[in-house]
Amino acid sequence: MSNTYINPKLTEIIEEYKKEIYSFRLFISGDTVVSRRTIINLNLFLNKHLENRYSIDIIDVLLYPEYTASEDIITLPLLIKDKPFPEARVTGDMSNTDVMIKEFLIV
Amino acid sequence: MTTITNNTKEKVIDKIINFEESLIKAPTGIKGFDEITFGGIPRNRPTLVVGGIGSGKTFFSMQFILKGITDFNEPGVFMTFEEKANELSTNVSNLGYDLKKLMVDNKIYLEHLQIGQYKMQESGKYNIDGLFVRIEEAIKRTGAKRIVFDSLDRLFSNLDTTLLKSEFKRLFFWLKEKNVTAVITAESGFTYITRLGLEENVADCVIELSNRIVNQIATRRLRILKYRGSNHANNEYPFIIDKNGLFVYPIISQSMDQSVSSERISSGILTLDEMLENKGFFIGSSILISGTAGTGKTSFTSTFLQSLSNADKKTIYCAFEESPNQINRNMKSIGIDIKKINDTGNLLFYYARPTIQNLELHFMAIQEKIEKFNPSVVILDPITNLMTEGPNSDVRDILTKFIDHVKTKKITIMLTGAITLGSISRVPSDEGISSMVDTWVMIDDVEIEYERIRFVYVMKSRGMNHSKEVRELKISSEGISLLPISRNEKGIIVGSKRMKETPLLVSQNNSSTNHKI
Repeated sequence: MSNTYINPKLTEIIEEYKKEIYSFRLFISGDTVVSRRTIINLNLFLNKHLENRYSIDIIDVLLYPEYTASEDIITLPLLIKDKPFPEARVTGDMSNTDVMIKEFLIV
Repeated sequence: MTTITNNTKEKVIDKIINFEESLIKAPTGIKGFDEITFGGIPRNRPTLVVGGIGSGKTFFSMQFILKGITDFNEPGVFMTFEEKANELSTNVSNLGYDLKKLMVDNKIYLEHLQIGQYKMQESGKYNIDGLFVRIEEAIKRTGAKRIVFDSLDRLFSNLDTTLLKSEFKRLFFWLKEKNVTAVITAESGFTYITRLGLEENVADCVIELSNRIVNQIATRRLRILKYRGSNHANNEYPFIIDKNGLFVYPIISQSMDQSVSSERISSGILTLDEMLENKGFFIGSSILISGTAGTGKTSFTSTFLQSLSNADKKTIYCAFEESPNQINRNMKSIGIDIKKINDTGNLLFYYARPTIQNLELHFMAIQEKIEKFNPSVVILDPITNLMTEGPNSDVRDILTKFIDHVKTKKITIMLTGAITLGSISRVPSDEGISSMVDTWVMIDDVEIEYERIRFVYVMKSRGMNHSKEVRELKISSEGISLLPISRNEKGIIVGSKRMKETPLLVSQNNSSTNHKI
């Protein structure tokens, strides 16, 4: 394995990625068991994988229903990654972390 | 073992009674549809409209919303999963509605739910609360009483099927509580009625639309598969989509208690009137002019048309064989100017090749014209040409219903056809046509001494003492006349003999005179 060549440029790029700040929006509907569970799951996930390099807005669509149309929301809870580009969406109570790592390209 | 207490029993009974009472119908405003459902779709309940691609589901549901606004003052919400809002608005403006104005006035709310625009991954359990919120917002915005989900099964394209099924159950239950009448469209499937078995949940009313091709002619058809708690017509009904919207043709047999008139209308041919008690046809009766090719059937109808126009009566002339221009040219030879009649505004032509569409659709189109033009006479020239479409029993059925329909409006209907005594024995349906007409004028083509002579007689004329004599038909530039047949010692004088021989005696509208010879 020692003779595996890693392009230094590549490592550089990956190192850059590791510094990127993530910005999320989580849409939930009301203060329910599902909403709470989602927030707890997400909190655990983000602190584990993206500690100190993320920001998140939690939006309750019952209070701000206009978001449902503008963001074309059908399923809830819904997590949208706005940054870094491109936008990505994951729906559910955030219990399947493998999907999220893949979908959000978290390194 | 559990026993049902009286209390719960009463509750159950109450529930059932409430259901019975709450079956109120919401008229769709779609012509013909409300008749076959006896009032429309169930109010405050979901109705499922299924059909294949291009079967008219979107059109049906759009019409439901638009008619709700214009005819019943019920605002509506249109949730589309397929078409873009601007595509829909072009469709709507083609129907003559101003969608923009309706939207500004908050009568209609269009929402395009884009499915599949975002690739979405699932991480754990979720629900479709987002859709609920959007529906609620849309209903609040317009105060909607009607809502449409156009192709709800589009949602299934990227979401979990089993989860969605249970979510839909929740959605429909919730919609009932919202007091909105919902129409849900879905693609038809193979194992279930819909592709994904939606009908299990939305089971109050299911309507199926189809676009079938029979003998290379496409016909749209509508059928009510299910209507919980209400009776409905069971057949398949043809419908058309045109610039006036969707129109279902309800071929429900009309009752036979149509009022009859004893007033008379002249046939336009003085000598034919003579044979009909000197008065002519009954108003609101059906008249058949039959004879083989080239016996002058169109001349009869045109003469009738001319006399109607002179009396300032409106006529719809349905030509299935000749174009109006051709009729115009041909009838000039007997001194009738169709174009002039047309200019008076008393004439409306319906000209169509029978093969361009299904027979019912022809009659639907004619019926619509009748409603708009309000004629006193309808002429179908010829009906035998329609026989090429569909099995003959169908044709007879449709024609009977059409004639019944026309007669209830006290409209006189004149048919022509190549029906002869010989053809009746060959084609049984011809016999059927003759039984549905009130007056039957037969033109017979007979060869006598190397000359073809046309004889005319009134085969039947219900309710009058019509002449039983046979007359000779003469068509000249002055028009049609039916000459009484005279005879001398050599025999009858017809055709070219008339010029040479002086008749001994001319029968005067009374066949008994013949015996005096």
